[in-house]
Amino acid sequence: MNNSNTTALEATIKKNKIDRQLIGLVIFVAAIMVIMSILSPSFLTASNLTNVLRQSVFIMLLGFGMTFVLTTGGIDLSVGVVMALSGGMTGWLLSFNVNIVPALIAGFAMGTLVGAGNGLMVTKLRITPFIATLATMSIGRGVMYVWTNSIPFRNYMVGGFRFLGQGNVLGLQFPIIVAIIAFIVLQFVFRKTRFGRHVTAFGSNNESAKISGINTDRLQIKVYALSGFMAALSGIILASRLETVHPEMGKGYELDAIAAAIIGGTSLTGGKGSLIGTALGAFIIYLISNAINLLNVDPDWETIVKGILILVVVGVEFLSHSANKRKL
Amino acid sequence: MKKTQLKLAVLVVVVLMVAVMALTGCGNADNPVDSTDNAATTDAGGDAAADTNADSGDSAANAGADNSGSSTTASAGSGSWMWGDAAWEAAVRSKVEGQTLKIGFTPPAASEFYDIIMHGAYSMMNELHDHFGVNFEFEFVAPSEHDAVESQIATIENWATKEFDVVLVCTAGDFDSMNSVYQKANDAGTAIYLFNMPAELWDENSINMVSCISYNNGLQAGALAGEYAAEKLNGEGKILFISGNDGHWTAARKQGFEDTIAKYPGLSIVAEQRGEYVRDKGMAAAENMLQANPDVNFIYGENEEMAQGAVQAIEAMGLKLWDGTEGIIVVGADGLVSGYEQISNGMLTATVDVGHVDMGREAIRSIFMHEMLGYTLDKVTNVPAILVDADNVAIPDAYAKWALSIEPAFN
Repeated sequence: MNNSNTTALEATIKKNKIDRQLIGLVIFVAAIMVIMSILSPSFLTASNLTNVLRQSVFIMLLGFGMTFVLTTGGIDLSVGVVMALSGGMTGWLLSFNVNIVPALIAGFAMGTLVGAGNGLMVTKLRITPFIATLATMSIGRGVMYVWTNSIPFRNYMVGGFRFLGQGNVLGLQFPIIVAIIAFIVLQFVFRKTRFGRHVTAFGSNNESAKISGINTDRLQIKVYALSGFMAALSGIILASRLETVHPEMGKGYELDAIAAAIIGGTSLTGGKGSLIGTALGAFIIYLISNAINLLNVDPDWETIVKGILILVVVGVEFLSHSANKRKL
Repeated sequence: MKKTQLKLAVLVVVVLMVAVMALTGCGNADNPVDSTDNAATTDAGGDAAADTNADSGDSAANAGADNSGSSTTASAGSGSWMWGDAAWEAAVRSKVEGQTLKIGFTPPAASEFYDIIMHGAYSMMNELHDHFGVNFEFEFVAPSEHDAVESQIATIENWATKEFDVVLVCTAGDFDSMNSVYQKANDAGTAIYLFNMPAELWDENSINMVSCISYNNGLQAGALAGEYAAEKLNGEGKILFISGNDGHWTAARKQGFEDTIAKYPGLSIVAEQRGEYVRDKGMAAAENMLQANPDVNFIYGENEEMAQGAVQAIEAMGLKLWDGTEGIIVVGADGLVSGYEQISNGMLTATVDVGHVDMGREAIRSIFMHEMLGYTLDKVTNVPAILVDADNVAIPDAYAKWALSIEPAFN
């Protein structure tokens, strides 16, 4: 009991720190907005900002699952390939005129099961998360090449499926609505449910979590399955958005998802996570790209500028963090 | 309870994986009908099938010459072999019958584009096997990453050690950096042929290869797109440019495109961003550039995936696609079946068929003529390329689909 009380206390302190970091992120976004609205007239328009939001949805959804994984102290490198596998499964079934409902269920099952498989490797085989999910990533990508014969799946767009990636509800693109709903649900799970608190407790201190009676194996399997599910959601929407599933779909997305979570204040070493931060992190990554594109910066410089800006965001966070420590 | 649940979960995962493996046997899900039809034609074998093959090659080549205007770069008379002449076939057959050529084929990635080239190679090997009784052993290895040049070097070394007669290479690695492994292979008695490489960027005599079978990336891809822009826009308009990853193909296509645009003072490239050769990045780049320049007339994507991303960006933003008289023209490059479909549907305006099928066919024909019959080869052989839009899409579409339907039957 004592232990879990302390971890809960630690978690609250950490949560306060995260809140301060969030303020830093919001200030950063505001600064970009102000500067860009002066430099480019087309930046601060509803259509541009919803575009950026829509572009960042896929990383955001992956990042939400990734936040849970990182909070346990793990990592999931397989989310990019899970996107391809799940989107591929749904698209492949649809191309045989399978009804959309079973096709979607199969896509989600694919992602969730691969995620659970990661969790099983991590817990039952005691493989470190980095290696286990790296192996899954490699196997999954190979399966995609073999399964598609290197030729993208296409010709699977049916009316209902098109809506997932390209539909509009109340003037908002449907992927954005999915991200908002996912955020609300996961924020509730993360902050208000026993499962969410266990995730943070386990990440803060594995042993004390175990001693206080949490079934840690089961917890981790659930967390990786959740990450797989979120990757499936992202992949299926992307499949609808792109109208084709390329065997290399989602390549590199795992690193962007991790970056989004880290920018948002989630710790790579576990015990600390913020879904709002992740959402902002994903938005910032695409906002930077968008700003650079609108200013028509030479593409050779784009990645340099992007990298420096990410360093600035994380660096400012760290400085505010250490300033707070000194005050304490 | 929990243990049984876990066991069940493991079981399901295993079953799923096996199922996925089983699917791989199903092959290409996209056009099963086409492949069976065409396979039947190929199975018929013999002269009739070979004749049609050669004919379709000719028509594509001719169309290419008509359209490009400056067709001097296309030096290969592709597909035009004198199948059916009994005396000639008997003469060749008496020299090569029963012999075997061991060929390794290593593209920089496993993709639809290289798959089409490989099937083009299959088609020529099948024909040579049918007519002259020569056998081929053919191995294919692609690195898992496009830029994993060192893994391609290892592949070439392994094949040289295994005494392959010929290695066909296309690599993202620089010519200079690959030259030493080519030399190593030559020393081991393995001849190096390149395909789909912009040899125009280097001094071809300094490369340790027999021949490079390719197309001119600048003049036969980038420049065709530029000329198309000038023609359709009457020399007046704003252009967005979506580039691929930095590398020799990107550099060569860009050079050809920009040089052509520069000839028309009314045309200007108002923005350029990178799309990394994938659809989602191309779409994002197009969306962002269109935001700042909604009044553009023309978008050039250095491959079809990015160009199709641009098409989707235009649609999503409520702008108008080219309908023959007005709207935004979108042009890609490569010549994939999915790109041709988009052209037929009126989504993508045009693309460049860079002669992938003919690169595969011509490479095998060159290898056969040099290695088995002793003919000399030029250092660089460029196959015909053609700008494809709704008016002529039927020809290259049928040609690529025919190639993709070919199954290896050459030993």
